[in-house]
Amino acid sequence: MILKTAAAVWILTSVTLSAQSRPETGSSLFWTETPAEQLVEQLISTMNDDQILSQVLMLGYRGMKPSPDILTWIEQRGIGGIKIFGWNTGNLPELAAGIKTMQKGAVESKSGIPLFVATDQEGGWVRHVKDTTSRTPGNMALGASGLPYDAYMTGYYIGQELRILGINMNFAPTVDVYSNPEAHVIGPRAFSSDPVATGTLGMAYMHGMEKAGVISTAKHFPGHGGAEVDSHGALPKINVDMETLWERDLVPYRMTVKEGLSAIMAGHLAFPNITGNDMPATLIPYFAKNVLRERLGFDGILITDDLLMQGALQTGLPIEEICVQALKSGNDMILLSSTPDPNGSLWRRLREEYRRNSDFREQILESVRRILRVKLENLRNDNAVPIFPDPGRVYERIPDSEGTNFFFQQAHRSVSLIRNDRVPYQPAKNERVLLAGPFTAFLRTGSRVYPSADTYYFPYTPFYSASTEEKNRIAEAAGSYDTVIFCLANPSSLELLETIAKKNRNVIVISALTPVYLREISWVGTAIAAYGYDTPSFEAAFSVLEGEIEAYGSTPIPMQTP
Amino acid sequence: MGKAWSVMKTKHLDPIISFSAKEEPVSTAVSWRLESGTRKGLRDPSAERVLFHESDGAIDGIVYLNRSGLILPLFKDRQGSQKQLPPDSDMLRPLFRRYLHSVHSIMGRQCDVTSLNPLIGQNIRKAIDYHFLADDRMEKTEIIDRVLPGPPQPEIEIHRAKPTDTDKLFELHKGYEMEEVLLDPDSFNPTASMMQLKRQLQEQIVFYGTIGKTPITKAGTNAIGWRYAQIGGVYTVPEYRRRGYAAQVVRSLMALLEKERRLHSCLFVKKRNRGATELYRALGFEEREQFRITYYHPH
Repeated sequence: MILKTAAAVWILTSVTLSAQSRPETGSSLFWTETPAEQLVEQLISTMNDDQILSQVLMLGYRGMKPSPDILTWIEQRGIGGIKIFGWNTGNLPELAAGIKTMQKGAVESKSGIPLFVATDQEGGWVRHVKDTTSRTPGNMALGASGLPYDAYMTGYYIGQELRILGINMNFAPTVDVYSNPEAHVIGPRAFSSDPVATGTLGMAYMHGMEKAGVISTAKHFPGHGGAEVDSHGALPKINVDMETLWERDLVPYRMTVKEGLSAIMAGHLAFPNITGNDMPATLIPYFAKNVLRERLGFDGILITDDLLMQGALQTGLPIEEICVQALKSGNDMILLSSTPDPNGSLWRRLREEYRRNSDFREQILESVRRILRVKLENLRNDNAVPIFPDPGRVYERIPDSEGTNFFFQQAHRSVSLIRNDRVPYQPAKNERVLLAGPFTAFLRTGSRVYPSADTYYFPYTPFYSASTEEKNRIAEAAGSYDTVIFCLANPSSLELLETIAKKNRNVIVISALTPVYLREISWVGTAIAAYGYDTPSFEAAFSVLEGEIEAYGSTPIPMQTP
Repeated sequence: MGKAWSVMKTKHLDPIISFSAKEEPVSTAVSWRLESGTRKGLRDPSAERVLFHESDGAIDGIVYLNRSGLILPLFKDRQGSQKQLPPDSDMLRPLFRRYLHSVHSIMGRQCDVTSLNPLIGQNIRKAIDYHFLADDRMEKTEIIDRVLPGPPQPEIEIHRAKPTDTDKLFELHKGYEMEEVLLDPDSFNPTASMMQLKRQLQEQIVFYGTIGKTPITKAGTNAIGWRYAQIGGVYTVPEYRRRGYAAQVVRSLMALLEKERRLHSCLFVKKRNRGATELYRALGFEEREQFRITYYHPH
């Protein structure tokens, strides 16, 4: 009794953290100045089994406002984190208000531990938080300019915007080495096909985000960049041996782990040559335990990609077993994009395993130690992301005006001239020019640069192939112009371009996202890679086309067909 | 595929933006509401709707609506006919009823605005006609310099407004709203007006001119589309009018739009405001459309 009172007095007197990061309500233990390692054990000693077990869960929810179920998980169970998806982000002040409500629920719950609030704001192609957030050129653009400074500032400005919203963890940078051009789902999300360049830029990006107070999560461990073309919506099988993986895909992890990386996301990827089976890396212990912990010496958090993705579900196991298996395999946190029933079968199954299996319990405790340590290290220092964001100030700071300027310049540093027959290009007096592309930013920017040009929009989806109707329509339209400036972005736009070629070969190509499709069209004499698919990238590409600027970037992937 | 009206969802956004862009300059305000700065899509999806009409897979008309009862119609190829109803108008009427409690005003091309009137079950309060002007010549400096010889006295200093200039510009903004925007100046609402100015300064490009430290004239954009920026809120305090101050500010704004953003300018001006119309013609603007705002009595 005396001891307990003494401890309480000691806790109260040591509550001296800065007002910026410390919420005014909630259990005080988390916010004391005790060093993280020591406080982890104190926190665990105050937590019951359910609170400990819940820390390994990171859940998504539907809608703009936090759902009743997610609030139950937070307030009554004390889950470790929430994941913000695109469908939660239509209106930023509402998102910030929702995050504030959820964090309030967490810090006022019995354990009083704040949430990881995570999202996928990689930059470029993947931008889950929408509304007015910056549209950035993306990782491959960073690979093309090749400057670690650009990667650092990109991480910093993306982090600054997440910070305003109270999002303290980002599933970025993507450090997949783009070794297989057919890895469509990675494409422009990769920095490069070179492992060391990928690691260097990934490191810089991570430190930039750290400066904004946001926790980096490198992904998709152990490496997604070698995945085959037909991997869409299924489990990719990557046929490499361990030595190749170590010297290629794992290089960025070997580099970033040494630099203090806090978290890694595991991908649903099978490596049959290494493991001897078709199980995803998320559901077997080999990569998490033998590779990541033992060989790489990583002691941060390993979190799964969404376990409701096809790659995991394809195992045929029920979701409850997938979750148990993922934790047994050495993942510290499991991610589910939708909210399970707080009293449903998943919760019951996890609790049952925790109660009857002492190895499982030990492993969960080990994971929760890591989770709490990363939270203590990142959520309560002077530079921490505010636990309670201010919804009223969101639009003042998002987009970040300095960031807008930076991304504009970065896009200009990355744009690459691949074939230069008609550069600089200005239409002749009566030349009829058509701008055709699947992005309004391309058509808008192009029509400002070439005001006499007509515009033709075609849809970006379906991704892999274009319909016959769409092909006929564009062929007919393109036939009546002297020059077509075409935006190439995916396999379906490549099909449309090949259709146009039958009628009109006077085509200038501006490639958006990955420039890999340019390898297929050697008959095009003028081609520029923009990498991004938004206004700054297209402004840079058109400036190169009209001869306003010289192209500085060079493609970070080989452009010749092997 | 046939012909029909539908409510816009995210997947329809790109073709709809593309349609609006082709109708610029008159559609600049619509383009802006569909896409602005880094935001793509409507600002507040719970308070705004876009209806669109398709004929055999091609969009040929859109109608923007918001919760305050504003309607912005935009139809393709109507050959200026004011009597012609919009296509499939019997489908449009129930959509209006579903999404609008009461129509406040309809704004746009005169023929588009009048064609919707039979579908609105409310009485017209007032209809104001405007000239819709645009300037898209590449070389215009010498014209402007001919019309505006030498700076007026006393000279004003021209500034680009910052988002933090709300207090500085509020009196000018208030004067503009009382004289030019509100049908009933007694209905001026300082809080709403302040919010509106704050937002304009955050999102738009605004210039103002000062004598000493006092702002006496201003002009800014109120919508930025693909090729055009729409200029609005042009206002000079009464004692400094007819000296060319507004022209100087508008010219600075146009120069920036053209140089930094590659945007042409457009605007609409009340037909009865001859002085202003002459000024804009002198600045290189030419008539493009007949424009109208029709205001309705509440239900």
